[in-house]
Amino acid sequence: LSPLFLLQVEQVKLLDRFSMSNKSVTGTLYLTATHLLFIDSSQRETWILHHHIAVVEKLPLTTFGCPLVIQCKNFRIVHFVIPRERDCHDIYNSLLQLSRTAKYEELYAFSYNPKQKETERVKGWELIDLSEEYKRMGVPNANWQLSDANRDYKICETYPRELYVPGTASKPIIVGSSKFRSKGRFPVLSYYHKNKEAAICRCSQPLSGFSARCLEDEHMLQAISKANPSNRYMYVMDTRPKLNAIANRAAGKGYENEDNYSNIRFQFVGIENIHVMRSSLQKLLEVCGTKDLSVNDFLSGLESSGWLRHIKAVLDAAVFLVKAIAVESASVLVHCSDGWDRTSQVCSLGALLLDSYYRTIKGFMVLIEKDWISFGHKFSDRCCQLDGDPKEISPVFTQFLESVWNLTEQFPQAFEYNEAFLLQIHEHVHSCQFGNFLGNCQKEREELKVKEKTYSLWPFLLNEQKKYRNPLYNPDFSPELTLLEPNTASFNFKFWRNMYHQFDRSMHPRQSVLNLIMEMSEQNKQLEEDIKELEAKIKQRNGQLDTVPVKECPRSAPPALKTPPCFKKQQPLIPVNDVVRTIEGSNAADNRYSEFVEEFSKAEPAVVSLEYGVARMTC
Amino acid sequence: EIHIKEPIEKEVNPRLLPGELLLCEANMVYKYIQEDGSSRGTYGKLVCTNFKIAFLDDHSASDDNEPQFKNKIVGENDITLQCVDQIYGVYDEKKKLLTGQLRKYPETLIIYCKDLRVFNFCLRYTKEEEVKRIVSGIVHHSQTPRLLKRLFLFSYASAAPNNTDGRNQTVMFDTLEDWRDELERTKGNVKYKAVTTNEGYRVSEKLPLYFVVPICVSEESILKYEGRGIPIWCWSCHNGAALLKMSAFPKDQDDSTSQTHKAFLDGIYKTISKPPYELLKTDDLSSSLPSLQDIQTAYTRFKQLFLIDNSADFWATDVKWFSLLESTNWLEIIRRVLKKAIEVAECLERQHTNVLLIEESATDLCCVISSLVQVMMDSHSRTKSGFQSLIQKEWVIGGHGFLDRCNHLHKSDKEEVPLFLLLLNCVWQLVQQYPPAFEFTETYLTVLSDSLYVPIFSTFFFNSQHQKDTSTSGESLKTQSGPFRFLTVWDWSVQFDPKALAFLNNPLYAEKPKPDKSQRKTARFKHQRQLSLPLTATKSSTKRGFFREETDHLIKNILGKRIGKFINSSDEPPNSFREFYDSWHSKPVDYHGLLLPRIDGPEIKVWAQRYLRWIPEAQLHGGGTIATTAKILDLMEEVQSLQVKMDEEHSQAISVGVHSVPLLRNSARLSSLFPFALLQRQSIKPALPTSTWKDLEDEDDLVKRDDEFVDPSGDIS
Repeated sequence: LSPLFLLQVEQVKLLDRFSMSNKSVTGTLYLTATHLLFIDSSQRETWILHHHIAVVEKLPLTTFGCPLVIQCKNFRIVHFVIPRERDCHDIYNSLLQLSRTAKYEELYAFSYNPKQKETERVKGWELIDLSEEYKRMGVPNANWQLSDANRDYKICETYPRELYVPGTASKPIIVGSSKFRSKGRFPVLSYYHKNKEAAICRCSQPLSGFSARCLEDEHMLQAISKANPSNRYMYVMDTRPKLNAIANRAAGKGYENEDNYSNIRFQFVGIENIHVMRSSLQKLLEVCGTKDLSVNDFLSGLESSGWLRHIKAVLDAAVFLVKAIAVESASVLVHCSDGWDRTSQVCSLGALLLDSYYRTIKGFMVLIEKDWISFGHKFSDRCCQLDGDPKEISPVFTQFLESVWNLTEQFPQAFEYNEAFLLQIHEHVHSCQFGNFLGNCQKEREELKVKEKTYSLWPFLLNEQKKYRNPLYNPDFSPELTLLEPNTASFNFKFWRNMYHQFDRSMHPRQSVLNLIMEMSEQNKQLEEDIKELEAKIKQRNGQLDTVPVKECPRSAPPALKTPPCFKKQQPLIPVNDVVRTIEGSNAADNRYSEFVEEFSKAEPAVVSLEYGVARMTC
Repeated sequence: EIHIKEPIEKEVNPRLLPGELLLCEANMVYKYIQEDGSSRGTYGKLVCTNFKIAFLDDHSASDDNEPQFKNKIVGENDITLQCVDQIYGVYDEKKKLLTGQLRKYPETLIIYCKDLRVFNFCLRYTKEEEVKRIVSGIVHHSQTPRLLKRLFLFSYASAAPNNTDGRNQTVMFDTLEDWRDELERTKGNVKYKAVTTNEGYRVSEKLPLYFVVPICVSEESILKYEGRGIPIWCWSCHNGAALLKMSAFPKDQDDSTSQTHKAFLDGIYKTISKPPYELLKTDDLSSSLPSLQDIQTAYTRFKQLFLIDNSADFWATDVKWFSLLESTNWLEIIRRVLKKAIEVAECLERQHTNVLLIEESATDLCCVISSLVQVMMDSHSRTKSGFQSLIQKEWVIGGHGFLDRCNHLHKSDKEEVPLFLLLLNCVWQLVQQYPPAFEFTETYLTVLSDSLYVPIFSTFFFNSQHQKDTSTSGESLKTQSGPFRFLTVWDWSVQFDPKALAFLNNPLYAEKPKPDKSQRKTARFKHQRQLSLPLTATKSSTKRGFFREETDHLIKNILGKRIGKFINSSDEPPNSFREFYDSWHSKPVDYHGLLLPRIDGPEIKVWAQRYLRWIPEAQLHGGGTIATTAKILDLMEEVQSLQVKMDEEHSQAISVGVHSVPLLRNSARLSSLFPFALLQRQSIKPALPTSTWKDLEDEDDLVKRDDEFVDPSGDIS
């Protein structure tokens, strides 16, 4: 036993949970300080980060051994059968210990070391600069100003230091308004639409109770509508179901009374709370975890889980928001209860629909940085980074990614990034490998010194953006500020197989059309190069001697495309297997490594693979 | 109320096909645009001919805005009489089904079509006389029983000189040669022979003139029971195993008859079970698949989801879409049929046994399964001509009763079963799961399904080859014009011009390459799963003393409480079907080899193009699969032009701009319903439909469903 492994068990079986014939592979299970590693007899490796582990369960002993089931936050479920109960028990207890983190400082991000220079690490954190982003939107300007009210987190701890507010909102108004809003989260700018001069603003619910009012808050809203020269009224969207909002009044919270605020149009949009969302996803996973699922069971399970309806509700809200801005040029103030879950979903999706910048790889990072990270979506609580209250856990960010995925499905040409990009982000929101998503708000991250002690995810993703490019992306499809108009009929919402069955390889199609297209694009580039090469050659020859045409070909052209529109020959370059399925990455930014030895193994067998693991571990 | 634009009286005449006669017409008919319940629409003339119902307005006369994809025979506002599904009349806001004799005439006529279009014609401004004539005319000609000879097919065939040379790559299977070629192609000719026993339809009128049986089956036995109890060859697998079908003896027979039948069958089974024949496996489809009645019921419910009167209806069904879909059971039937086909493929491919499909007539579910098995196993059937030949072999010549099953003559509703549509739906699942494996597109399947209702082609308008033969020759004696020469649907140029035909070809299809055995073998080997265990002794692991003993099962509660539930470690013995399915899916796909569909619930999808194409609410601007296709076509064009450029460079030819006009240039904002509905831009959706679904549910129920639902005042977030 290598000292780097805490535990090693041999003759462990890994079952394929969807295989109808109960297939399994046998191999050795290792535990390291950060990962669980399984290497099967054909040297295929399965790496599971301890932070990803959500549940470990021992099942009743069978004749083959002791079954151990591990469920991960990235929806991987592995089912091991360990020959000896004693070993199973050891692994079980170790995993319980290892996957439970009490302090932020123990998270992987603080020990993860990709062997990068310090200057590069620092530069990585500078990649995304939100003040640049506000400049891009066109603020500050005559109507909107940068406020220093929260510079020291005095007004609101969960907001960022830099906030943009209407030009006419004075400090007393800000302070007054923040006192009337839950957790001090007063209305601030989230997105500014240059052409319409309309804004998306966000806040938390007012502390209105049954009759309370606050003049400063009323002034604040008025300042927002006045900051929009093209439209006098503004919308206030309460993203909660009306019933929940009413119930909140009893606790001294609630929603805006239209009579007290001038020129507002109030609207509920009915997105359910985090508890409903959590149990909805649980139901969905239960349904989709069934072997040999019939269509009818799938459909009824899908309906009763309500998951896709919730996704639809989120997108519907975003569409409502977008219409107010694009059609009526009206500003919109969005809130829910505390303004960090549903509000983040709706504001960010709204901006994504309005502004094509957010449909680019860099723009999407900016969007997440802005509406989720800086405005204090509670990543730590929602993703359970530390051992905490299970009732705080909820797949709010997953829903956001799924909504975006549905949009990419509806508009294949509109997005620069592909599904793999979304999946990779989801992976790292839970991996705690990078500093970006640690903690619940900016203040907490500053206290943790993430920018000094950890790495940022974004430069890693940008570095390997080739993997995340959508081959169908058409920049002409989305000139600046073109509105995306999704169709939110239920029919258009699909089950996201590659998210929920990401690791169940038997559930995947063997090859995607996208791979083919990527290949074609590559070939085009090759052909273009050939032409250049030929041209150069011709020039050269013509210079040398004025003789007859060049007949020889420097490199035989790819045979595949001789006779379009149907390819007449199979293209040798096209991978006929799924090893290149892009969502299964294997690189520095990927802690899933790869299940496919074919993809990265360096010809040498086991030893290398083990070293690989060791290298990881010592990082 | 309706805002009446003063209609411009302009003489518009219907474009008639040869042999087409105008039967009745009505002017000042107002056709609603199918949209959000508004009363927008156009005025025009509604006509009924012996071929179609057509609405003619000013727009149809003008040639501007010519769509890229247009059917030359059936226009946008044409409904062939066979395409009419149901006709409803609206009387004082109430919808009534119209059949046969009418006493009162409706204000609005709603026509539901079998291709899922819905037409709303308002007759309020039409002269009463004309209303009577047109309504009774339409109902009579489209909804009442008629004689075969009254089908437009015959008028057309006698009026239109058939000049198409019929040189089509599709094998028609109406000659002995065709069968022999097919035997040779599949290398079935060693053990099977094409027989001429049925010449003159001596054996049965239901059987084709020529068919194939095992060599050991004698002519006498074929003749004995009109071909019943005789295994008829469908196809031979590369390993020699064959797919056979047999029409069974009727079940309710007295003892002695069934005894003799049984003895006869035993004899047959005995002869074809011994070498050189493979082991025989029989499969009685009438008991192993849903009944025809179930299929018809499911489809009737299913299509109802898409026959939408107006926007309000659409959003009403949208609220509970998934459960509505479930309640139709149609997708589940598709799944079961696919599963059955995989089972058959497994027997042929892996178990090396012959499979004999048995059904009362051997012309219904037998056709579906045998065709599907061939599409999955024989890459030739995934080419256009191969697929068409397959339809000819198994369905048209094979004797599927299209006339009855489609109820073209309105003789008996009970006979109507959408079996051919079921096949197309199953094939569509394969097409969308493995796009590069098929030479044709889903659009091809869609227009093929539409062609079921176009009675200028004989393909889908006879019950059997015998019926077609007798109808053809019988008539010819009277008309003295020689036998009819019917068109076949496989001549797609009759319906589409070359530009539109391009949409039927799959740009991603790669033709079968020359086999490169060495390469493929290594590839396959690499991916084979190693199932054998290395025989090393289990080492006992060192115990790590410093870990405390833990007892709680739950670490974190992000996803579920009872993950054990996910794991149904069934101890049932692995059956061969499952192993076959699993092992195929764990290997890379050879698009020219065996193709097995995925049949997990989430993989079976609704054929959106066929079913949603006329619903504006389902439209996506600049989105949908067409956006992908457009991009692919763009790329291919780029490749092509680069190729041309390269060739030019090589030959130093003076560049002559041979720029083919791309089909979908500037396609960034095409409708997702393209190439079908060419609808105007719509408002994207109703003002605020969110949470409407909640209204359907009791709040209490919600709480009960969700044991974690804390009281709303604790609505943190």
